[in-house]
Amino acid sequence: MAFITISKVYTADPADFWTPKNAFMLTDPFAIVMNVQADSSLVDKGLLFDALFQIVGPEQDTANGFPWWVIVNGDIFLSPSRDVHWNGVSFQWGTDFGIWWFWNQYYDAIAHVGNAKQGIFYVQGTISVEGSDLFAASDRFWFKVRA
Amino acid sequence: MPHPRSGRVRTHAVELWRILALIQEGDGMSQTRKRSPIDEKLTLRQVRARVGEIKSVKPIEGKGSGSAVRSGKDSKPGAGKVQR
Repeated sequence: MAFITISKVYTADPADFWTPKNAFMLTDPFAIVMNVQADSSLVDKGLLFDALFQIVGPEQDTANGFPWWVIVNGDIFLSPSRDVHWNGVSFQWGTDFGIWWFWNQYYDAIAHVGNAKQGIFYVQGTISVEGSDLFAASDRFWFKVRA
Repeated sequence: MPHPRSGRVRTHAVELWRILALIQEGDGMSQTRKRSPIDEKLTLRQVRARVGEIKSVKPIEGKGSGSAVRSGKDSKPGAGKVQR
């Protein structure tokens, strides 16, 4: 039975992708890392996967909280996650590997998102194997940003 | 004839003015980027009240060549084998 799992998700300093880091200044380099374990049959068959990295603002209370928002054409929209898609990736690193997405500073990732500049947020992600029923979803990893 | 202490007072006033200007520039966070309403923590009611002064902000996104989709300024994907 083929399988795929995301054993860990975390934020990190791009200078050291293998060490989780959970507190950043707004202008600190920032990365989302997912550790992935896959059955060797997926590698052997040459399958591809689609990865989704998400930064999530957990506050949803529109009356009392500070939910994430964006402005599009003058209208305000709630936008509780910043999503990055990396599609059509091959299993070129074997059965036990990490994938990441990084920015030179956290600010660059959420420059357009209100209420995302300081606070306690989390990252999560999914992996979907193309052309199959297989997928994996990560846990959450919380981190703090200060301005 | 100026009061002997007035020059010092004026110097302090100028320094205070500079400090205030720096704070308004960006909270001391970045002297090159002005702090905008979108950088502040705002309730939705405050956002709606100020929406006229907040310019429409488009997500920073763009696609690159190859399989690596770029999204965000200076954002990059990458991967490697897990180090045990």
